[in-house]
Amino acid sequence: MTLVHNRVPDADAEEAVAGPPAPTSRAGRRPRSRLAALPGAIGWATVGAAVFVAFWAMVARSSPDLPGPSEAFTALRKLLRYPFYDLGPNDKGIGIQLGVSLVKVFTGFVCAVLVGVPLGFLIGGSKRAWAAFNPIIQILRPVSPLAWFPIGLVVLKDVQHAATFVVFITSLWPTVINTAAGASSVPVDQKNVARVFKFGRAAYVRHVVVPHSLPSIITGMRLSMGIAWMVIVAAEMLAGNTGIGYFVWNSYNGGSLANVIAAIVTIGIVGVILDTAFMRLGKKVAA
Amino acid sequence: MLELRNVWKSFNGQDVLRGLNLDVGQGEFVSFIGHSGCGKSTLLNVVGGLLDSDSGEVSLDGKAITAPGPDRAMVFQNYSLLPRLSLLANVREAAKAARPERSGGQTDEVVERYLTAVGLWEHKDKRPAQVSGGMQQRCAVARAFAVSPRLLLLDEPFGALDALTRARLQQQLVDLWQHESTTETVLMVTHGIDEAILLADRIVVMANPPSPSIIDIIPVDLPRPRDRTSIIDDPAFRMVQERLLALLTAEEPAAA
Ligand SMILES: Nc1ncnc2c1ncn2[C@@H]1O[C@H](COP(=O)(O)OP(=O)(O)O)[C@@H](O)[C@H]1O
Ligand SMILES: [Mg+2]
Repeated sequence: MTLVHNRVPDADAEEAVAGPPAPTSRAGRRPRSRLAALPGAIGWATVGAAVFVAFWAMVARSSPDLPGPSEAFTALRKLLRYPFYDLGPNDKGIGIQLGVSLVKVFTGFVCAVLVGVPLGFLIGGSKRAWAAFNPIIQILRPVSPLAWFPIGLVVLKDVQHAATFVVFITSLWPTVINTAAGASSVPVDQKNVARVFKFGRAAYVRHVVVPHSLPSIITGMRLSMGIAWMVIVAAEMLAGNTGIGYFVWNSYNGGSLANVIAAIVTIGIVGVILDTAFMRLGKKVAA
Repeated sequence: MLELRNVWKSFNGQDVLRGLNLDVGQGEFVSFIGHSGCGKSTLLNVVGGLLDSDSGEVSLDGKAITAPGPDRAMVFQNYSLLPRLSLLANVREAAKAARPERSGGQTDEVVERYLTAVGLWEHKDKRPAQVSGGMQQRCAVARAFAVSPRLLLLDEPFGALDALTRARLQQQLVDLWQHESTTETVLMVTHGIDEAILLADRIVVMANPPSPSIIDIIPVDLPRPRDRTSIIDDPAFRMVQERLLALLTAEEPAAA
């Protein structure tokens, strides 16, 4: 797959992950016509952005406290000029803040994968484990991960670790559920092959369960990362001190709504990059 | 060698195997034929140890069959290769798992021998999806032989292949069975009347209720090696063919 194709919204990449609606025209499906559709796609994206910015400018004009597009853009440029400056605990560049948040997100996420994937295999592979764990998961899953913040704080005795813990909990459910879904859907004939040829447990997991579940594991990881990146902002608003969420909160308290908006844009772009990375990983694994 | 005594098996109250009796001798090639749904796969799965019968006895050399074992290997209708493994790994992992007593070198040697025998050695690093259905089925056959089973179980192995590929695979199967392996006995489910006659020493004709599970067992008295083109003119071939046709057309296909 070349770079050019990847810039265009991808019709068949989406599963449970939210994404653009698949192009209705048949032309969106074939690489060559995708390439041909590229100028059109850019054109329409520009139109959409223009409408959005115009609407925003209109609202900003009637509401004096809300910065308009040009104000926000200036703020963004200023933030990005020196992203890594460090003038003490309350004044750091947006790059540093993003980095701090990313470290927390990846730590929580990796822990969630380390726990969630084996747990998912267990639950997906055994009816008893499913019966034992599924009710708990179904009850805990719809709870806002932020509700776990106090618990993380009490157990880990550190606000930043508590934020990481929130990310861990956030990432855990999609990882467990998608892994279990993959592991429980091993086709009967693959199971029969394993039985006829006397695969041991290790060989069965390695050659049958893991390869079969890999695409849904990646989907689970992609979902997890998406939610984790959303949740970290809120968690850091609670935790304070560092991170992009704290930056947003601090900018609001300092009266710089333009910085808040600039941070929102940055957070969104980083989110897209993370999501794209997992989408590519998923494609590579599926190939 | 293989004995089935009064074997019953039902699914959801429907009797699929109805008091089935059968003896298969060492070195025999037995084909099973019958309308779909008459229990051919069920019978093969019971012998393979994948399914337990409800009652009756199934034994190999006097030992009751309760689970799959390396003395039996199966070739499934839909190839059933593990999709993420190369052809080589498909054969090697199965051989390794079923025959853990072999050394690594022995396993490699056997795997290479059978992949070469079915003409897949140069494609060994490809994934199943990268090769044709015929090649996948050859790989499945190599995998089964690599376990050195005494009893080989084939469930409509060539059903999904075109006529030319099927003919070549039938020949390879016979060669492997007769010359290249220690596999003595073969049970093969088939839909093809001609295939059954070409390959088998005996043909077991199965049927749906209310008939008994086995309505006839037809011996095929044709000398081996059999030549697929000249055999058709043999009066013995014609006789068996007509008998099979008569039996199968007289039987109603399953309502389902
Ligand atoms: N695992 C199963 N659960 C329920 N019914 C089954 C199962 N396996 C087979 N059957 C039923 O048993 C009958 C015989 O199936 P099968 O042995 O596959 O027939 P054949 O291979 O001769 O076409 C069919 O009616 C089928 O629906
Ligand atoms: Mg069948």
